[in-house]
Amino acid sequence: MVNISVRLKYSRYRLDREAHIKVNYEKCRNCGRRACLTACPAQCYLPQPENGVVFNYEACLECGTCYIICDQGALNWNFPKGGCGISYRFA
Amino acid sequence: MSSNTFDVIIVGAGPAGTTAALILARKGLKVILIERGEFPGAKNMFGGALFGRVLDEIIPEYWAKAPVERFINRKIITLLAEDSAVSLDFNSAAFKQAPYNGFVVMRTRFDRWYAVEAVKAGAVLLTQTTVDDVIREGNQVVGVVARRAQGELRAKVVIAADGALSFLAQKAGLRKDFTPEQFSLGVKEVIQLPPGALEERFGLTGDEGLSNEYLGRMGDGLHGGAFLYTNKDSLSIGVVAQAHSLKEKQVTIYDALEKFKRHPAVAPLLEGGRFLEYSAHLIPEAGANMIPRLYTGGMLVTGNAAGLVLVGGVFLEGVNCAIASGRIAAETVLQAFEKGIFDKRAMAEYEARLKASFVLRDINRYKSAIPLLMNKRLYEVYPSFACRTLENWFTVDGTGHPKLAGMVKGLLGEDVGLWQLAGDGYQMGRALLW
Amino acid sequence: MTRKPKQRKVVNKLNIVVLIRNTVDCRVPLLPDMYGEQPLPEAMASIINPADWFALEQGLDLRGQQDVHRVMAMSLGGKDAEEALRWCLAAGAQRVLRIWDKALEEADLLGRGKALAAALARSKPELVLCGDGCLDQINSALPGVVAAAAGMAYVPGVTKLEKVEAGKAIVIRRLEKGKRERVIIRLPALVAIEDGGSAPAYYADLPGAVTAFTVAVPCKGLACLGLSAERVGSRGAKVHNTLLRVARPVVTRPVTPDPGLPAEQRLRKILSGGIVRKQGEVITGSAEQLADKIVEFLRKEPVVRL
Repeated sequence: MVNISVRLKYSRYRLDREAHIKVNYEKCRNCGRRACLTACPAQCYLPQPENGVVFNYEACLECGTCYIICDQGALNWNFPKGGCGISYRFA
Repeated sequence: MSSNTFDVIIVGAGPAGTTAALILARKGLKVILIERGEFPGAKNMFGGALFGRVLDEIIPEYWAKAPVERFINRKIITLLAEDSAVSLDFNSAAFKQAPYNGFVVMRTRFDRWYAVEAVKAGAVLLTQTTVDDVIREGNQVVGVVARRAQGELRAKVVIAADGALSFLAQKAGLRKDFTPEQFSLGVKEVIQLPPGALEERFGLTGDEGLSNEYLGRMGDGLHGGAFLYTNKDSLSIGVVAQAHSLKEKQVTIYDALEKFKRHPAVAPLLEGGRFLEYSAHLIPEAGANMIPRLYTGGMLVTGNAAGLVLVGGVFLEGVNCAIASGRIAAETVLQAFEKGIFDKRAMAEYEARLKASFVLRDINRYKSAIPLLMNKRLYEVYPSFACRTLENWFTVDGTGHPKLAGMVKGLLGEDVGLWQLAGDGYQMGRALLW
Repeated sequence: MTRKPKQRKVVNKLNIVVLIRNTVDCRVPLLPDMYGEQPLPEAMASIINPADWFALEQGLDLRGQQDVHRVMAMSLGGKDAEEALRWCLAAGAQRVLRIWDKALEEADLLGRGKALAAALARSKPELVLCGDGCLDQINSALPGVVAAAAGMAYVPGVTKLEKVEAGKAIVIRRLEKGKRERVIIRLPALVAIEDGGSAPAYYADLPGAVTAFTVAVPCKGLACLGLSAERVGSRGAKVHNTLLRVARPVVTRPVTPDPGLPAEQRLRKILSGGIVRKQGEVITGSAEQLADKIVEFLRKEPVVRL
């Protein structure tokens, strides 16, 4: 297993005070698949012990993978406020 | 204030939006180019190849001005099995000369440069501003709503160039909800190599560069491929995986990337490299099957926002389609301004022109490549099959070389039936050959 | 940019200038080139110095106060400075001024300080604000140089502007160990404000942002400021930068506490990263003995290598 957070230490972020993606955790608790846990390329979704997930927006790369694979309708997905979020340097 | 009214609002300062802004500004229209990133290119990522013939027509000899890394004169396609690989290596002298076929670029530098060209032509560039919605009056789009106080901005035409997830097209009612089958996720690492290593390992001199696409099972069962591009002093290396397989296989893409980097055919190329950055982006890959309605009254959708990516198995081209669509959008808008009509019928010209151009012609031509790319045997059976066949054929162990046909038959029975092979062969032929 | 000519007539109205510096964003690793020498240019993102932006916001907060006439943002630099000033305009600064000259490219701190001081002398502000410290460290001393060259009082380490009125400002200043002092300053003065660390409060509205990116940003060269390139430019520079190197990564040694220790002490060791409070030591003796003991102490501690 790769710990992706080590890689993301090299990325420039400008954090907004608020999360740009709002997760309805009620719906996540009933989700059997929790595809977001493995699909997110920045490991922003972490499992809760029993069921459900926790989302950390800070390391988000704004790719939108969670948005297109979530079939529970649990995500209120938005881009971050202008100027906030990831700023690539070498991409 | 009169200075705050614009003829055209373009959302997204990527290749599509910037091209439209540049061409419209050159013709004297008042254009505002709105970008949500800290600077144009801050949010953008792709594998690395810009096929720039279409850009050459807009900015002649762009390679002398733009921040390009290397021209691509060598293209390698590799089938990847667990611990072996088969490659097709194409090297062209013609690609080494102007007008070069393609360049490796870094989007953070290239998009920034390109946007400055649009600003020089007279466009207004507003960065750090997210656009959330369009303003509609009846059937006509008359402006956008930005996520700032008093965020309404009106114009005659809005060009949506807001990338793969285009929320503007959705808000304007031009596209349906996405499905995981329509997208692939690409992740990339930029790896700096020791001095001289790049030239030595890839046999490059001067500004020569190469692209290498890999096909095979990624990680533990992801469907997709991998890529490697040579930058000036570094490598861009990444993995592309179909989103539905990410969902089904419960395999992370960064584990797949790590596994790819450790593959015996890849690892020596990265020896002694230093990690610089990790990035991720979605690729709209359903081609003709996901293109939204491209226009409505007062609005055009361009580039990735319109799903205009040529997916042909051995091609995966987005930026040249984006530039071409941005240019065609600009031409449509110019014509609309000549007539002073911006309704749906005037905008329909965009789709007609797009269909006549290489963009939609190619995308439609390679329509049948998309079901092929959904064929799981393409990733799970054939690459390893090809490698095993050659491995057996080339092995010298004193038992003698069998003829290929017999060996293929022997190996085939394990994974795939003859009929299936014939069917897949036909599918592959339909996709690429005729 | 709205100018209110009526207010001009009232005497003793304050003009505030905020100095804005662009800096390399040093909060992310600056990666070295393949020779391991200089940082890669792509790695060095140019941003507005956060402390300066905080100072601008403090200045803009003062606009509500009676005696304040206008807030102007001033910056010395190329295209980056121009964009920074546009964001200042968007956030609400009434005026901006960029100072740039080809000759200033290689100027040292003194040269740039003099150029800024000359610009300040022209706009005659009562109060000059800027951030205390600069992310890139190189420009941290710039406000002090500007104040000296402009012949103004220089008040660094300010945490809060309490009150600003004609000819006088009251500020709170940070001292060591969390102490604070209240200072009355006779204006004109340059006040360096510490970054409050809060997220930016002024997020420009759309009309403001669009206007800021549509208007021209005035730019003054050395000639306009009555300065010569010989004095403040590269030829006048006393300090020349020849090499910029990236810092070596900080090595953090993991602490593995002695397993024989009780659990509580082990935890303490882990949590403190092995750092233990040291007892001070009073040494006595003749001057020579003292010197020897000090040298001995320094040798034992990994402070200096002798």
